[in-house]
Amino acid sequence: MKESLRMIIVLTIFAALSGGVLGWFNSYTEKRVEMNKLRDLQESLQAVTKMDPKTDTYENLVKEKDFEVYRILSGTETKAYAIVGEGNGYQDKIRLIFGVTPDFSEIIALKILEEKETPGLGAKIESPEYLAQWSGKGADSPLELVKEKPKTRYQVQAITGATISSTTVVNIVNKSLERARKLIKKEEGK
Amino acid sequence: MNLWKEFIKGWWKDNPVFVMVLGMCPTLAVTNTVENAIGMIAAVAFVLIGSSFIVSLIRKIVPNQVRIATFIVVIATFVTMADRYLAAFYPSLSKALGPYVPLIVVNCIILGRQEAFASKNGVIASLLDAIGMSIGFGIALMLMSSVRELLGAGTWLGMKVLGSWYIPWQVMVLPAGAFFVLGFLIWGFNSINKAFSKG
Repeated sequence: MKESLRMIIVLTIFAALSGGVLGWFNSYTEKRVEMNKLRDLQESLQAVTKMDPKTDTYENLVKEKDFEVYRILSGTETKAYAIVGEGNGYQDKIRLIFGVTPDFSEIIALKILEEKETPGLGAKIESPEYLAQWSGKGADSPLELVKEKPKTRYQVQAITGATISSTTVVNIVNKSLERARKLIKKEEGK
Repeated sequence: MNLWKEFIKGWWKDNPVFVMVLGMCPTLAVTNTVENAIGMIAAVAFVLIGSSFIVSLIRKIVPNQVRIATFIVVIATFVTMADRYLAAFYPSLSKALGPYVPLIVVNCIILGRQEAFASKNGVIASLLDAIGMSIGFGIALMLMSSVRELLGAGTWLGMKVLGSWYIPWQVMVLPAGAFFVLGFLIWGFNSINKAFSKG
């Protein structure tokens, strides 16, 4: 009896001490972690919508696990929308953000937030050469994946040897655009 | 007891990775670049040294039946601190290491040293043992990651080493490359050990 009581006391004391230490440590790091997240978001928004961090502001319209929409404002005028989308790639989830013009006619730029694709093949979706082709693509009609050089602004060239990763990126953009367009229409209807 | 012996045994004779073959999960998973390896070495060293110190301090008051549970609580506390610290101050490294920092809790090197050494020895000896083992782990991970990054990307710690004539051997940064390199390094390690013990 005495032995089991000692076990309980010792374990309880150590668990409580550990909890106390972690609580203190978390209060010390939490602010930094939040700040890092905020800075990452701002950097991404600037990269995909060409917003000017000094004069433009942004507001969050939707925040779901696989879908986020931000409105970039220059004063009270909408300058662009930034959309975050997610989908299954070859290895793991691909998460990306892209900016569109306020009338949803053109994609401004695209950036990959998370991917774990094969290095040298699927991971090329993060290469500047691949991402550059996204600027200026049409957003008012679904995009199409092609193997050769794109002929229209609704075509996106796939990466050789990375069909699944390329398809996923196009699908995420098409799906998120559709969702965002509906959402904005609803907002404006109000 | 020979303290110096306790300190250097982890470097080579009882190297945690190449001789004891412990801690395989981080050894294989995060040695694709030297930068990731350095982050992992620092986190493991912090956890190992911290928990060895605490465990050797409390070894006399912990009842035998709950010793493993107590050690795990101590280890998990240090791991969580390391994880939060990386997330706050090195966000990109924290992202690259992903789940492998929280997984240090179940790293056999750490629990193994508590059970085999820190719970039976004094504070000074345990600290030296933990530092020595961290150095051994560091040597192993630096060797693994240097070979993999050099062959797989032609760089070392992000710096270009091999010129543009070199076509990166992609498989080396993939999981298969980790197994290749580990196999060859253990082979080399054991061959050297054998040659010395004969002489």
